[in-house]
Amino acid sequence: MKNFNLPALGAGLGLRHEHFEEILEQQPPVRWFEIITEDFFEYGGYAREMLERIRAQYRIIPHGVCLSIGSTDPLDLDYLKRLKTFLDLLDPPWTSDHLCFTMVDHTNLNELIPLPFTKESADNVAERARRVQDYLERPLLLENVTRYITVSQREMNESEFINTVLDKGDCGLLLDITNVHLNAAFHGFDPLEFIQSLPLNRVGQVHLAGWEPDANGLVLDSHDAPVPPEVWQLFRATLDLMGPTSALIEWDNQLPPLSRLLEESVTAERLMREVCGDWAQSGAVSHAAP
Amino acid sequence: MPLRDTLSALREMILDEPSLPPLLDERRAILRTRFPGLTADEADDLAQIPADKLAVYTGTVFRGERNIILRLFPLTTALLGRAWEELYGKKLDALALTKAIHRSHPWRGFRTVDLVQSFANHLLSNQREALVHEPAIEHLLRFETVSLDVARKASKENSVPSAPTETALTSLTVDQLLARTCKVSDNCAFAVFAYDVIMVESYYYRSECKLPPVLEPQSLYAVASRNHRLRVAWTAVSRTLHDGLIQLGAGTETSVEELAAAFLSGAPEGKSEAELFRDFLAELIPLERAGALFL
Repeated sequence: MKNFNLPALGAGLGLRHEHFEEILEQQPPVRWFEIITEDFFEYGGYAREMLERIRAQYRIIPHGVCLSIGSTDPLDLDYLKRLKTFLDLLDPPWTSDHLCFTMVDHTNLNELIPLPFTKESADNVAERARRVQDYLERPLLLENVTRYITVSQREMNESEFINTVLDKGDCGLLLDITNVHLNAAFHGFDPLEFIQSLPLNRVGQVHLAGWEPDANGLVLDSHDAPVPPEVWQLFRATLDLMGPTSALIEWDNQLPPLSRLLEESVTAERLMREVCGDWAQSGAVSHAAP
Repeated sequence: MPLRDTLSALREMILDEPSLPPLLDERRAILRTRFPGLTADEADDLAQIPADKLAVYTGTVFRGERNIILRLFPLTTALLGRAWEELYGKKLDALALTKAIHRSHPWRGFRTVDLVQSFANHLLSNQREALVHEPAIEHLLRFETVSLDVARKASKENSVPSAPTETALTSLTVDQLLARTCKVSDNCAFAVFAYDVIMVESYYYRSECKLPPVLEPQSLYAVASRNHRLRVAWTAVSRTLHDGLIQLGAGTETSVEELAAAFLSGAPEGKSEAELFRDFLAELIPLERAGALFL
């Protein structure tokens, strides 16, 4: 199995309101766009109309933030129902969310909170991931999150936790290379060794992002800057390990012009060509929607 | 279930900012008392999480919520801020407000509208002094809430045809116009305000985000809809037409003649038929332009 048996789409960009009209007018050479699922899935209006027009020309891959897969609250069936309706309409090859929790005790934390690396937690995620995939009838990728804290690694470390979740849940990994880099810096481990310890055959997509320290010098996973050289290097090394993939440039804040984002995607594509050869030819991937 | 208590403890430590004592043993003991399902090891792990690292999450959570509220309710929060300065002589701290909202009406559910509801409930319950001091706040709250609802509503009319032209209607004879069918958009909303909230919004964006110096009570009957660019448009209407449209209901089809009859039934006396028809047309055209009516 490679890429969790999913197509390698090449470099993609996040679809943002600010770029809607330019995308429709200019039809930039983007292979695919990622959307934040909850920004669209239960709404009509302007954003939804723009999505409908853009997806007529481009492949759209949804990425959620509210699944709260690691929570001990029951799975939100209302959320899942709305999600399934939306996914059935969009028909993407996969969907994704984060390996964390965002709600507990029916209270929304509005943030991706890391989970304890315990057997109980891994089993909980795995069981819920299986149920979600069965219900959605579509592959689910879970993204490794930036974590400013370690809740617990008494029973296993982060790599072992991710491996256990993916194996028992039979789900895929959205490998956020920036998050690996940041966590390695925060918690003192080697990022490449960490990536090598993961089941890379289950990686269906990667994220690449940059950050600017905030006013107090605090480094946060802010998605507000170009991908820095050290993350590009880690991406190259990852490509060497796992081959071509679908790589999203995740620049959501302090949003630059679309042309600047395209430059980042060109860099990602160039690296894929350098490491993986003419992979796109064999995959026959174009920027047109299927 | 230890996992449940671990996650609940994290929630409390991040959102409720309990002041845990500096000594590890004391923190551990408090956590085990507060969350009896925790094992000794789990309480130890949680107690050892540095407070400054937890504070990173507290900061991102509440700044995120604050930013959502400010983005969706710029007028309401601006006027609330002014009320605070007048009442208490200090600036409204939006971050502190967000934390107060959490304490009184925590965000339940995954949707933004759930946070909107928490915000609204907090204002109505916990900011009464400000609302009494400046009654227009409640009206702006409702104005912006309805705007949000209309902006996002799933609708059959999501894709609106090209912009209507005024000349198309004004070139018709009276009989031709009255014979036309007329559909009330299924995503519009009707509201009555005690302040000219449409003027307030217009003033705010024209004057680089300043509010009018004084807000005088003024009755306003209004219709919110999505125009041909799928943006929310508010149209002021007469009470008669407003009540007539409510009676018809969003999404219903009627004739212009029936709409005109509703308008005329409440029209003031002393005007000629021609004047009344001109008045009716003057209300009809903006409603069509705003996407509230389809003729």
